[in-house]
Amino acid sequence: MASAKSLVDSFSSVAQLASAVRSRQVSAVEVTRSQLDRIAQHDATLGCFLAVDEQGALSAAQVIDDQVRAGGGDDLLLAGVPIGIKDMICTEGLVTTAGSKILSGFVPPYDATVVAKLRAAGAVILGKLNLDEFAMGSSNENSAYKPCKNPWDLTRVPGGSSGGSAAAVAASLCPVSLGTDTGGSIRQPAALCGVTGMKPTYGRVSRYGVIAFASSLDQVGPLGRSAVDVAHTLQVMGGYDPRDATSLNQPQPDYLAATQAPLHPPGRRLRIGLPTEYFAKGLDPRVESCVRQAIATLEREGAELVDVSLPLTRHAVAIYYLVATAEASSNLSRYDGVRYGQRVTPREGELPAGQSALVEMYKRTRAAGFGPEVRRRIMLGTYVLRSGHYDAYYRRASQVRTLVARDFAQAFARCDVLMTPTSPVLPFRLGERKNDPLSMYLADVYTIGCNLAGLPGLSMPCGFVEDEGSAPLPVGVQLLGPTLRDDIVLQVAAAYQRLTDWHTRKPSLLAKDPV
Amino acid sequence: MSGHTPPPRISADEIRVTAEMARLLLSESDIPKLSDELSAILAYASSLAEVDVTDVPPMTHAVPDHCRLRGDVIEPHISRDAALRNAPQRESAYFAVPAVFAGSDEGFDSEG
Repeated sequence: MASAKSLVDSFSSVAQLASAVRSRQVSAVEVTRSQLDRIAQHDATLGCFLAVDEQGALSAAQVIDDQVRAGGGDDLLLAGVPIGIKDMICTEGLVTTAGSKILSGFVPPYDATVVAKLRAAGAVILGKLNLDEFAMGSSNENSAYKPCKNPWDLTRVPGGSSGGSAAAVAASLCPVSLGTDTGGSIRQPAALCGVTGMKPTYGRVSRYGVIAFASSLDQVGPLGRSAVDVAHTLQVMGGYDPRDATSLNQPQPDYLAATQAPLHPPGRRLRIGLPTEYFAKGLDPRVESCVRQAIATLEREGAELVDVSLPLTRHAVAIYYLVATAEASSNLSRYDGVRYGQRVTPREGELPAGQSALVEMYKRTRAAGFGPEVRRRIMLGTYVLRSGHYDAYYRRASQVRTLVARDFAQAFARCDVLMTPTSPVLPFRLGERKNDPLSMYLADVYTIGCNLAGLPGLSMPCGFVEDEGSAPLPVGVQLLGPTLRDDIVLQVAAAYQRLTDWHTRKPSLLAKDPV
Repeated sequence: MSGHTPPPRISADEIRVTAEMARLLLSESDIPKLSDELSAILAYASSLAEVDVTDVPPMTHAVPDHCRLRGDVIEPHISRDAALRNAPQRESAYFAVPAVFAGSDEGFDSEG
């Protein structure tokens, strides 16, 4: 085998890579082959991919090369750029499982809008990335297929639920990937793996063809090596889609222009809000120190710091677990063994007296197909929606959600962006939190508010710390913006990345590539 | 407002009824575990009772956009065959399922 060093890493951005493919400095097939070799080399250890589509990727790359050779392809913004897709997103002809046994073998008959847009821009889909089952989890340990490892320390989790998407970028298995974010599922793994990941404003990106978890919170977004790469990918995948009734019929900002803009808005200084409640008890002091240094970096550039308060933060996790599980219990009722996925039929003699064989089939199919965390959330969601419980739980949670959104709106009246830690803790060890669902849920406290209010949020690396003799582990800083101001989030992130080089670091475990 | 009382523990019977609604077959050993876990999560969530929500409308969606209607026109769509391709069991142009009504002899897995 040739060197498994990623050819892609010799290009500083995906824009530069696409431009090299368009001008025939490098072929899309070469790039794709190099990534496939790298996946073959490392992924048995890492577990990022649930499916690698070698043939599909090479033939898509060949099509791009043919197009370029024939004098076309000038408008392909992602010409030959290899991309991994979270296995929560439908890909025509390529198995899509949501990390669940219940969908094993499911081959979607169509592409999600985001996938169709990426393909149309010349992106090459390498395969499907590992995740917590139905995106329910913060460690990737709820994948029904295999765990995914953190490339910075193989004994630790990559975060979740888009753990494969973050780990694959960190390990240079692909320069960009897609994730989904319902309560932090792009930003938290981005933080734990030392990459940049963004959840756009709710409605900016189509959810058509994206497997639904909690429809009022779910949003698709890109993960990449830098804010510039994330902006470039978002530009291609975002925008209005009539096939998604919640898609925003609004013009997309020029995200790339935002990443080239200065830190400060025209004519005044950037105001960074620091929510008191996000620097409170439970935050690892080593994480806090890195985040404070990132804030100081921008302050030295002239940004003004503003203390703000989001007093309902302490209720965010409770709201989230009532709203998200209620929506999930409804969304996941479609997995019943009738139209797709696995079916478990009762055998003769197994049918309880008076039970319909159809209903018994539903119950057995769902019990066998869903893992423990998914079953727990379906049960909780069903319980809180039951008549007699609805007002006390779901309705009250939705009312407090309104107040959370108002808190954010008040904070943004006084600042342009909020800057906070992404995760209160460092990447934890595999198995460390698995048996305590509530403690796992509480680790999402800084990312959930953004989903409840529908805001744009981004996480990027802001330092590294060692933990009990471990290799250096990445720490993420989160930027949150007002609704529809995805551009200012990217603007501040790119400005920070011009001043620092945390985002360019690579895990040393993989630096010594065999030749 | 404070001093709310945590919700009572979810009983085994409540778990059974909920599982029936969710169409999940539980084993007897699952029931006490789920009862513990759900009770703990709801006890935690009961802090929401402290928040004054008088006259606060519920937020059911992140976008205050009203439901959009689309035109009643035929758009490109997948074929019937493609739609049936993932079905665990089909008969000609239909999804096939076990007997719907209790007491029917049909619908067992005869290969078992």
